[in-house]
Amino acid sequence: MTPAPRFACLRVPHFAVAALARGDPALRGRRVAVLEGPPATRAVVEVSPEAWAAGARPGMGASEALARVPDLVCRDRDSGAERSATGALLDAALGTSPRLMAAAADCVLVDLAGLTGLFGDDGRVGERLATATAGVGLPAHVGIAGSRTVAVLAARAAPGVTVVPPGGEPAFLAPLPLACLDPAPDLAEALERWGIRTLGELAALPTAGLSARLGAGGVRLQSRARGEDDRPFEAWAPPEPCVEAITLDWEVTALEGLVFVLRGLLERLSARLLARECGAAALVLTAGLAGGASHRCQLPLVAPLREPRTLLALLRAELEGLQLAAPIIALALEAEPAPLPPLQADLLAPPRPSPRELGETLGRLAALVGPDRVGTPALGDTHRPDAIGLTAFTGAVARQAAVAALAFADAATLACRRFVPPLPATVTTRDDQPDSVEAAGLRGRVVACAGPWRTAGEWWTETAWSREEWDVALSDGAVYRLALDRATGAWTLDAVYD
Amino acid sequence: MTAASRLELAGLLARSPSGLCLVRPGLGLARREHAATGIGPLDTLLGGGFPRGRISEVVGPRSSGRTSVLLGSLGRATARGALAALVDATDGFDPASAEARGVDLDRLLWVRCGGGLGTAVQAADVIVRGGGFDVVVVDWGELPPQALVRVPTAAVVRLQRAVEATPTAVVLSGARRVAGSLATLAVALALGRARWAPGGPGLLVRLEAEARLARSRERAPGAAVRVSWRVLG
Repeated sequence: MTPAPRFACLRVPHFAVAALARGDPALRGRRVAVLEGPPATRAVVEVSPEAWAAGARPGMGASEALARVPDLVCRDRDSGAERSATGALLDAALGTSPRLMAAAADCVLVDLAGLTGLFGDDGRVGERLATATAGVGLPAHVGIAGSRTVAVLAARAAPGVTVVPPGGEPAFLAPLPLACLDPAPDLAEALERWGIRTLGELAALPTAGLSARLGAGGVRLQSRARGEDDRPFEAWAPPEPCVEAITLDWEVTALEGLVFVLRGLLERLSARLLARECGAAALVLTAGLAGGASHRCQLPLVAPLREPRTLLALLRAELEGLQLAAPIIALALEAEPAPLPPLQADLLAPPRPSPRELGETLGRLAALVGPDRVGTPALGDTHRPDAIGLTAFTGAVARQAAVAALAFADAATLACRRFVPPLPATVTTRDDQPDSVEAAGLRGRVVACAGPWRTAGEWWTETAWSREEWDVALSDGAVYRLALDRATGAWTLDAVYD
Repeated sequence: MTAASRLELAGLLARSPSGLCLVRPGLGLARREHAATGIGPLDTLLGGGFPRGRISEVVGPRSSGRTSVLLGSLGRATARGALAALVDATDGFDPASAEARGVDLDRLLWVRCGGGLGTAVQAADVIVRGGGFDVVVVDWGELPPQALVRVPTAAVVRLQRAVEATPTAVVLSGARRVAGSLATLAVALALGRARWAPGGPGLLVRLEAEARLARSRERAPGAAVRVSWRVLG
């Protein structure tokens, strides 16, 4: 008879703080807040238990947190330290079981199948895991149960080692509050209205009725409330870099020759990545030069890629214009492996490229226009007119709040097209209103105008801005947005209504 | 499953030989012939919107409303959950305007070409060949008509060949037409007329323009409609 599956969950509470404390033990036991964001809007993203007890909370502004907890130690979030901490957590678990799943940055799941004969019962295995994580400087909570979902909830429920005995999952889950499953706000609101407050109450509801009223999201939530796992175990393997190297019998002095050699290296590298079912998140090219020196360049990729032609185009774009002191006599190409997103698409959604196809398209575009010129438009959290950036394009489903906002958007509103950079303008005024405008490529009398609309911001920083905006119709018939920088007195044409 | 095979499967499901409707209407699975702009009179003029698998053109001077037409099309595509792409030749895209007009920025791919004419057409070609985008817009922005003469025709021919086999609508927009007979449909927008609120501090309230069908394989060219855009307060 196959033994019932058992899983352990290692979870590090207050992960961002714990990751910093690994490198700076003096932070342990102190009131610590981890901050993130630009200087003007830096906010607390994580606090230590001591700081929590004193009243600091995630989401607070830095100054508010310091006002509440005067001896609060504020530190910037360190993503490198967090990646190292996740790696340390996985290494600690690897000493007990080879089958691990990285569920989140602060959470590792361990398959305990077959470990009883080696280490004893669940309690002993749990103690072993807790000792191992403490050994790498991370205070982890350990939960052990018959499913991963229950193991995670057990690790969240209490510090130390919590073992849910086989068959005891329903009794363990029943009194837990719904909030421990982090339901979507609309689901949480609906269930609250129905008077459903615990996992036991949700688990007892008829599934068909729940599906009819709350849809697939409600059914998934109920499945988790019953302790069922909603995705397969994705085994984690220690990353090993893929390296392909070649020592040349001749000296390469031109780009075409280099590309010829790189094509072969990339094809072999791609085949290895295919065997691993992953792509390359970054490429590192090391060129050995005649005379003993070497040149190293790193190519970060906008998405994990494996297609040799795309990778070659990106490398070629990176190497064009490169000047080396000596001919190349050896080449090594290293790929940083990263899992490729799954190919499965949603049949009930409009057609869209698979993440893999999208990654290749983005890679080709990055090679064409540059990686910093492709992405999703991102608006800054400010009224500053030029606060526009680009973030990585994923084509992800919009956030609920964004969807709600779009419902109120109006297709019959007028749009603007910006001048990039804004056109410096010479403006004459009459009765404190623009009378004529002259800028590169246009000149005209103002036939109608509206304004000034005054805006200002970030006066507490060096990037303070204060301006007056006017809508002006010029004698050429077009309507422009004209701006006066109140600090410098300079006029610019910012945009045209179109 | 590739985007193309997925679309084919969706088409098969929608056309069940038993006559049963396997796909609910409105889910966006069945191939739609046009990508709507969301602007009623203009969609009527275009016979539903910009044709899929074809190149269309929107031309007009400053303040003729062509950017508003483009954003309307991008907004409709993203609102139904599809992906859209904007190839921006002059980096003049204003995300705040787009968001106000209903474009879901999370589903919009913005490619900034910094003035490269050939690069913009090539970027559109890459996106179309990559597949899965509902609408691909190439906006020539502020480039003057004499600059657009230099758009490489060979690249436009290649783009036209690429888009033929896809359900993507490609729209080129600028101060003049660049695709010639390679475009199935062309709309010319006349200079808009600004309407200002009377009295007190002036307030721009709306812009009115005329849209004329300059080229169409389905309808007689020359038909025109008036389009009006409100200015958000």
